[in-house]
Order: sequence, then C-alpha cells, then structure tokens
Amino acid sequence: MTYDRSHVVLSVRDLSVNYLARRGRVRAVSNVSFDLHAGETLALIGESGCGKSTLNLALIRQLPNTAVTEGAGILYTYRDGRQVDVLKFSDRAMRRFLWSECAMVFQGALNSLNPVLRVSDMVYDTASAHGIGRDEARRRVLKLFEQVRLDAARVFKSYPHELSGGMRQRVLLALSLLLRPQVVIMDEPTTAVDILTQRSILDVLKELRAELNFSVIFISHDLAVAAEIADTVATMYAGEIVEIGPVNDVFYKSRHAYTLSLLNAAPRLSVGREELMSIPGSPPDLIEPPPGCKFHERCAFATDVCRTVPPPLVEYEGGRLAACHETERVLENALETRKAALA
Amino acid sequence: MSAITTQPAQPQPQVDVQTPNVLDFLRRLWRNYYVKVFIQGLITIWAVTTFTFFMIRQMPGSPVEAKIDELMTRQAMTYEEAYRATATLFNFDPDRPLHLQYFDFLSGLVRGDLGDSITKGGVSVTSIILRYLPWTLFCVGMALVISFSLGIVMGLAMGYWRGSWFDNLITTISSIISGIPDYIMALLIILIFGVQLQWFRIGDVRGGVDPNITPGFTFEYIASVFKYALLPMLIYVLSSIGTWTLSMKSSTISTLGEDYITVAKARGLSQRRILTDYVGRNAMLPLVTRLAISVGFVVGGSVIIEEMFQYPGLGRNLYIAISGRDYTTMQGIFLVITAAVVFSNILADLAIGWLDPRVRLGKQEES
Amino acid sequence: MIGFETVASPVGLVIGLICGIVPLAAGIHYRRLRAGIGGFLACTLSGFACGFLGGLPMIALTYAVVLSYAYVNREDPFTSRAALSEVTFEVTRAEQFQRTMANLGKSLRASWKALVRNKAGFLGFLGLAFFAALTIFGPSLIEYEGQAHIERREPGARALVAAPSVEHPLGLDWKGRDVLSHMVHGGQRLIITSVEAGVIATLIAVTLGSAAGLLGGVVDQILSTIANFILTIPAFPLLLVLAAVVDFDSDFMLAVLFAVLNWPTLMRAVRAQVLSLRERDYVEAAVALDLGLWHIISREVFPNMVSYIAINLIFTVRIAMYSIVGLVFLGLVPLREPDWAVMIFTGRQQGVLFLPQAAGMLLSPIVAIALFQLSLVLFSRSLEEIFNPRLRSGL
Repeated sequence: MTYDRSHVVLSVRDLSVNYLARRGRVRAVSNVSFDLHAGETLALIGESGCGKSTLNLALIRQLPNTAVTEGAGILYTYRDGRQVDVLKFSDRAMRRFLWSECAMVFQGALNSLNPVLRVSDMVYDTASAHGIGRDEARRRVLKLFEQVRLDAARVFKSYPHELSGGMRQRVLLALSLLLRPQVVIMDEPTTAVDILTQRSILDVLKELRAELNFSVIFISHDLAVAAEIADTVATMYAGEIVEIGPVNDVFYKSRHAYTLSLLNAAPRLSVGREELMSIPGSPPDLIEPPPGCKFHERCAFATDVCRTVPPPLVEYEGGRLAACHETERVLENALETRKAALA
Repeated sequence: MSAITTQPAQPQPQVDVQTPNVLDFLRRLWRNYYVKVFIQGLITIWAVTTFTFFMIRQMPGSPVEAKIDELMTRQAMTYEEAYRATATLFNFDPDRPLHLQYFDFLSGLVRGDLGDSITKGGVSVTSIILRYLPWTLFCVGMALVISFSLGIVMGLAMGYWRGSWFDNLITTISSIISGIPDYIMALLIILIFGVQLQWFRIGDVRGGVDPNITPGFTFEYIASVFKYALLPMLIYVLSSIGTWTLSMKSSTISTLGEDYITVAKARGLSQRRILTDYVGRNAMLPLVTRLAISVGFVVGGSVIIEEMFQYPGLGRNLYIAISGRDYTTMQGIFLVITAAVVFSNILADLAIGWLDPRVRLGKQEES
Repeated sequence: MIGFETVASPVGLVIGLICGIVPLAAGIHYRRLRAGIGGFLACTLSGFACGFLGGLPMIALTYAVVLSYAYVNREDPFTSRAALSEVTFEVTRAEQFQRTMANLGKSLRASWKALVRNKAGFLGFLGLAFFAALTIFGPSLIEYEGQAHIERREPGARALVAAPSVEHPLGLDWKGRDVLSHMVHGGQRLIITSVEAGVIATLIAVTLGSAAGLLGGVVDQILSTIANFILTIPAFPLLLVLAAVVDFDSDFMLAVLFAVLNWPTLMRAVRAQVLSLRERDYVEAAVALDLGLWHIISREVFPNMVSYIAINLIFTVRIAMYSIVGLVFLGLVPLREPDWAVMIFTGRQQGVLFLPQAAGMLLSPIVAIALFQLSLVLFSRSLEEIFNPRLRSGL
C-alpha cells in the first residue's frame, strides 16, 4: 500500500492514561506519540493487557471515569486543513467529531449492536445524531452493505440476532464508514470470527480502503493479519510504544527484543521445522513497573544497563524508532532468523 | 419456558393433512404454543381450585353450626328444626356429601355460576366479586403502575449517574423502605401523621368513598374515590418502589457494561437517546417479566391493608369470608386470584416476546 | 430447641465461665492474651445466653481464632522455616486437627473483617445483636407485668393507656401494664418462630432443589410440578385458611406451616443453580470420579451456593415474620401474651389506635418490628462479601 506521507491526519503527542485503583495509579499507557498519515494503516501489536485497547479508547475519549488522560495533544486535521486538539473538545463538539471524523469497529461484534433495535434503527440513529437525513443515510448504507457483500435489503431490516457473526462484523464495518470518516479504529475486528470470514472481511476492508481512502488504526495480536493489512507497525509493551516503523522493516529487521520475541512466538506457514518460543513470564505490574527497561525481566538479551536505565526511543534509518539498549544484537539475531527461514 | 427459543421460529413441520381426523386436529392444536399454554393454565386453575375447595371445608366450625346453635338457644328449636331452618336460610345443605358438593360446584363453574354466598342470603358470589374487584383493581393497579414507572426512571438515573448524591440518597431510602412491611408502614403513617401530627383525620380515609356522596359520574364522587384511595395507594407504592428502584439500578449498571453502549457513545449519539433506547430499553427487560407477574397479585390486593382501611376491595372480602366461613365466597375469590396469577404468567411470556426480539415464542414445542 | 428458649440464667453464666476457660488457657499458652480474653468473654456471653447450646460451639470457634494467630503450618513450604528436607509429610491426628482449627479461625477472622468493612452490613449486624441482647438478657433485668394495674389510672383519664414517663419509659398499655416489660419479653417468641420458619423452609428448598437438580427425570418433574402448583396459590390468603385448619398447639407448627407454603421460590432457584453447576467442569469431574451424591452436594455444589442460600434464608425469615405478624394482626391465630404482634392487635382492637397517648404502646412494637426487618435487610447485604472468598481476600 502506498499513502501520502506529507499529510498527517492524526498526530498523538505524549499521551498517557492512568487508572486510579485502590492500590495506586495504573499506568496503562505512558507517553505514547505517533503520526497517522492519510490513507495509512497502522497496526498496533502486543500481548493482551499491553494498553492497545486503552490507547484507542483514549483517542476517542471513551474511557471510564476512573481513567485520567493526560498529554500534549491529539491533533486532528480535517479535510479542509483545519487542525484541532481532540483533548480540548467540549462534550458536544466531541460527539459531533465522533464517527463523522473518527469511527471505530469494536472487537466482539456479537455485543456491539443493540439487541432490541433493528439495524436500520441504528443507522438512522447515527445519521440523525450527525444531521444526515433518513433517505440519504439509507442510500449510503445500502451501498456500503453491498460493498461489504451483504444482502443489503434484508440485513437493513434485520435484528442483530438474526445475523451471523461475520455478517454482524461487516455491518459494523459498513456502519463505521457511514459518515465517511478519515480515521477508522479497528479493535481486533477479526478475532471472534472463523478463518474464512476473517479472509473475506480483510478483502472487503482492503477494497474499501482503496476506494474511500481512509486511515486505519488496526489493533491485533494476530501478527499475520497485521502483516497483511498494515503499512506501519507499532509494538506496544506495558503501555509504551517500544518500536514503530514500516511493516517489513519491523517484521524482518526487528530492533526491539520484544518485537523479536513476539515474532518468534507466532507460528509461520513458511517455516516448518522451526520451534515456537513463547515469551517467559507475564507482563509487568503497571502500578510499580520494574526499573530500567520494562521488558528486562523476560528478555533474553538483557544486560545490566537494561536493568537500571530506561532505554530512550531512538530513530534509525527508514523512519524507524525503537527503544532498546541491545538493538544491534537484536537486529543481528533477527537477520539470522530470517536467513535461516529462507534457507 | 421451554418453548421460548432464541432462534428464529422454524416452519411448522407438515402434519399429514390428507386424512384429517379428530385426533390429528387435537394433536395439531396441542402443538400450538398459545393453545398449549392456555390449556395448561386451565388445568392449573382447576387443580388449585380443587385443592382450595377441600381445604376450606376442613376449617373448623361452619356458618351452619354457628347458626344452629343460635336458633336452638334463642328460639328453643329442636336440633332437627334448627337444622332445616338453617339449611333453607343459608341455601346450603351440610348433609350433602362432600364429593357431591364438589360436583355441584364444578358443574356450576362450567356454566359460569359460582353459586350464592352462604352468609349473605341470596347474593351471588359473582355479584360480590364484580362489585368489589374494581376497587382493588383501581387502588392496587394504580399503585403498581406508579411505583413501577417511578422505580424504572429513578433506577435508570441512579445506575447511569452511579455514585452521585442522588444515587446514594435514593439507594439508602430505598433500602430502608423496602425493608419495612406494608402494614407496619401503614400503622406508622397513621400514628405519626394522623394521630400525632393530625395532618388528616383517620375517620376520613376509612372505606372506599364518602358514603354521603351519591354515586355517579360526577367530579365530587370521583374526587372522593381518589381521596379515599390515596393513603392505601401511597402505602402500596412506598412498600414496593424500593425493590423496583434497586432492581432497575442493578440492571442498568450491568447493561452499561455492554459493548453496544460504548459503541453507541462512540457513534456520537445524544445522551438522551442512549439513555432511553440503548440503556433503558435493555435494562427494563428483566423487570417487565416481574411486572407482568405482579399484575396477577393485584387482584388479591392486600388483605391486611384493605382490612386496616376498611377498603371495599376483594382482599377485605376474602378476610370477611374466611372469618365467617363463607365457603362459596372464599372459593370464588380464590378462583379469581388464581386465574389472575396464571394468566399474568402467560402475559409475562407474551410481553417479553414482544419487547425482546431475541426471544420468540415458538409456534410449536421445540424437540 | 432447648436452650434457645431459655432466657439468660445464672446456670448459663456458670456454664459460660467454664467454657471460657478453654480459649483463655489457649490464649495464655500461645501468648496471645488479647485473643484469649476476647474468647473468654465471647464464651461467657454465649453460655450465659443459651447455656450449653451457646457455650460449647463457642469454645470451638474462639479456640480456632486464638489458634489461627499462633499456628504455623509446617506442611506448607512457604511458611515453614525448616529446610525442605526436615519437613515431615506424615500427618498426625493432632496436627491435622490443629490445622483444620487454624483454617477455621482464619476464615472466621476474614469474615469478621469483611463484615466490619461493609458499613451498612455492620449496622445491620449491630441491629441484630441489639435484638438478640434485648430478648435474651432483657428478661432477666426487667420483670414481666402480666396483671392489669387499674390503680395506675390518672385522675380524670378515660383510659389506662398512658404516654411515656420517667417511671415507665415507653408508657402504659391498655391494661395499665408497663410497655417496656412487654417489649423485652414479647420479642423472643416472634423472632424464634420466624427464624425457625425460615430455616425449615430453606432446608426443604435446598434438599428438594438439589434432589430435583441432581436426580432429574421423574423426581425433577414431580417436584417442579408441586413447586409450580404452590406458587400459583396466593400464599398469604392460603395461609389464612390453613391457619384455621391447623390447630396451633405450638409455635413450631406455625413455623412448619409457613415453611410448607414458602419453599418453592428458593427450591426453583436452587434447582436452576444445581443444573448450571452440574455443567461446570469440577462437578463433572466429581461425577466422573464417582464420588457419590452426598459428596457432590456437600463439597462441590453447596459451597458455591452458600451465600445465595444465606441471603435467601434471611429473606424468608423476613417474609415469615411478615406473615406471622399479619396473622396475629388479623386475629386469626391464638393470641398469647407477651408478644409484639399481639400488642399491635390489642391496641387496634381496644380502639386506642387513635389516642395520642397510646403512641408509646403502639409505636414500640411497630418500630421494633420495622427495625428488626431493616437490620435483616442490611445484614444480608454484607453476606455476599462474607461468604465469597474472592471478595473476602482483598483485605
């Protein structure tokens, strides 16, 4: 995929999210920064509980009251070039912004649709909240339903429970594009469906993206899916982005030990004999994170420096960033693994 | 509830229609969910009625014995004379074997005749029921509607703004009043506001309506009906609203955790829309079943509260019938209450099927 | 029910003091003097209240608590200071007993902490403790006045009933008797009968519910049909009828009658719970291991439902008290003094309801019943936390 590198749609600066728990502050997301360009697909990968979903809910300000969001800004650029800070929106302005500029496809399509309303009601609801007439909404959504290969007329009149999981996921996808947003956040849209449905949803997504040219933030712990759909990949660990860069660079020339571990833990079709290596231990306590690099306790490359000094995010060639003290050794290892795999 | 399915209704399997006969027809009728439920309801009513029929005749003492005693001592009749006189007076033959009495009752029931009251000579039980039922329906029914709707609205608000001062206040009050029995609350209100503070005169609120006003469709009469029903109604509302409120609150809280609420917020819907169509409608579902079931208990009213306020409802008449051993009246009122309970259960099924598209009443039993 | 129905007696006090020696000695032995003294007091109090029935179980409980402070589980490698090679895995009887007791004591302490933490629940607990103290220790402090006192009539007053005064803090009733003495003596029977009714109903419900859920088939069908049948009959009116049919020689019969009419709701819930539990892996595992029905009920199913059953028990006790007071209120059961409900009934019957000076006589039992019910409601709130180890552990 190619995208316009000059036009940044969403620019996240130093975003942190803390949950207030009885034991103390849970630093679910800390100092995350990234840029999302027009037409770009950014995949966020990482284990469960690494802060991916919190980060995304923070972007659309849908976190519960126990969460405190801080940051230098979430800068959003409209199509006409105006720039705003999402964090400074009033509730009313936020409601207008949501879905018309930034929509979201949640994980678990099963529960994302109100069981007592018809699909049509939910379409009309969304449209009228953003000042679009019923006829226009109907026309748009029927077209979108066809584009996601649904039986448009029937689905439109259905209740959610009358649709299969894959159909519901496609309804959500179509619904997210109803107001032609520039950014669509997708939180594990393919986890709850079978492999064939996953395939067709990814195909549909690629077609729509090519036609409507929106940017996507794609959350997944399925690395294969991420590799297929993403332009850029960001690895998250313990609430931080530890590595970010073009998809092929990150996957084949990993510079962070955690990214490499993730890749080694994922099964690959191309390699038959290779042993899968799970990552020992579990994600760190986010209330009292370990000193130094948060990953050092589980890291095969860890040295004394890693145990005391937090690694800074360093820029490398090709627009890549990584926060690892042992980046050279990791890279070497990654290249060797790749060579062995190709051989 | 075995016939409630979460799948779309399946087409009815084709029964052989070439050779229609009575058995076949009955079988197909039985397969129809509504017919089946209706017939099951009738059987339940019959069973309960039979049970109560024999049970109330086990009660020690009978109106006849009391009357015979009275006639023998006052008018110096012989036992035989008093016996016959009482039998004609009461329209009730205590000599008739119990099973024959039962068959008399059943055959009357089939014809829609509940017989005559034993203690009130010549008054039919049906007319007693028809006369007193509307009072109970009005008073308890209104109270139920008020406490349910208020409870729903408050519970929704409390769940949505959980932890606010409003939530804490109403939760505390609800817990307290839901723990106090209704007649205890009635006594407290009478004693504190009636006797001590003298906000109202208790004599003014005993009965169903001011006896000095001629019945009719006049403002005065209706106002009086409302005035007399106010206190019992208030007590019914107070004693039931806490439970509705707290149930709705917990239902709302669990609904708020659903994904579709987050999605609705992310779609930029207005708060009002989310509160009504997304949170409210879903949170209400479990309560609607309970509402429909409580409708069945409206008819029985509250024996104690009606007796306390001398309210001319069915509950008070049941009490009078029990103390006077008026078998037929007791029997009739029990029948009405049982029927109400049975049919409100069916109503609950229908209501939930209508409100929740996921629950569809199958046209036939699922295998 | 011997023991519970006796009020505090000197013999009970002696029993309590003797019982108290055990935890006290344990406290001294383990150098946990505070726990020992606490156990001594608890034993004395409960022995004083209920004789052997209160004293003996309390020995076990307090001893367990004292022990739990001092006991070190040598079998547990995490707490044992000895090297692993020195740990013996042979369990002597005494050690087994000690460990069981220490575990019991630990969970008692955790329950107590959970109870204290929940403010509303603790308030309810204090309320119940107050009523227990009132009905058990009150009678030995305040003498019961059963005879009418006509001489107490105020000059010029039309009725004997009188408002509270210094001499009679809650006033006089319609026969000129001290209301306070009736309050103190009149609660015990009502409370005990209600609790009996609740316990019997719960026992029936749990037994039949587990049977229906576990055995299934014909048993399930028959029991469910009976339950549905009883549920259809309006409960309170039927109780009115049956109250006349059944001859009440004892309050126990009334409790049984109530229980017979009020088990179906809980029975259906237990049945549903058992059915859903039966699907769980650990129960299936127990079935597969052929551990026997009783084992499955007592070890696998019951612990998972205990908080639910306890909350329901309290609910049933409330309904029982509601029904019993209602029956008395309508005058449909034999009236026996002293009794809170009878106080309300006679107050109404004697027409003193509308006399302002009768407030003391009428409000006392009314407020007492309302407060008792309220305490039950509040207490049931904290039961969930007490019985659920997952909620309890976050101390």
